[in-house]
Amino acid sequence: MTTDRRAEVVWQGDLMSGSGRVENVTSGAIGGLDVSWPARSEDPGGKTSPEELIAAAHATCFAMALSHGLAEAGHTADQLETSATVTFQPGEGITKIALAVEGKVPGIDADAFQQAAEQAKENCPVSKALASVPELTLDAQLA
Amino acid sequence: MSLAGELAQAGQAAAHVEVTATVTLDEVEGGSHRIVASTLLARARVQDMDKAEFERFAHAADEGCPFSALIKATGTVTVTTELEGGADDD
Repeated sequence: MTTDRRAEVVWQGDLMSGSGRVENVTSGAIGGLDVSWPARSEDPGGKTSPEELIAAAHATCFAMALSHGLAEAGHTADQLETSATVTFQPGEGITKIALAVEGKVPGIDADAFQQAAEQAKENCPVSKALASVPELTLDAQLA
Repeated sequence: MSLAGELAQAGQAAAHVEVTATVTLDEVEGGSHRIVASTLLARARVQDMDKAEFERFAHAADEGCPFSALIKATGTVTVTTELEGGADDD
């Protein structure tokens, strides 16, 4: 099944002094998120940014892919604590994404967990979509 | 942000811009899933600008947007535009 997910942003003014707001998304789960260029390129000051939203997307997608891979290998995870850190270099773009996971997975050894995490990192749809990011790293640990 | 930057450079700092992105996830060969497309719609109120000009800005913004560049490596990005109260409103 194909799924479409939509997000709407309203922007007022120019880039440097203007601001925007993430207004509506398909699910209604998030909205009213303020964004601005200074918050994106300097101190966030309580505002989210495209990079932070990508980080949320990537950590979520990676967690889903890893949970699936582990379950298929007979090691359903109790808990996967995942994070993605997206590095933005103004003028250059998104230069790096660092994935990290700490897993509570009964009966798996560190090598097998590392392998499953590598698989998820390579194959989750968001990783695939972001394949042209110059650097994608992974730190996988068992709790 | 990229579009706001393009418009500001053209002296259109007071623009009101609404952008929606629809991201499509599809099942591909082998049963795996892939983000295959991002469809952008840019609607704006800009002083003294006709539709063709706004469309050029929207495409320039897409060219300069880091995220568009990433998606384009493996999927498609399409941009459509709508102008409210533009110079060609009739």
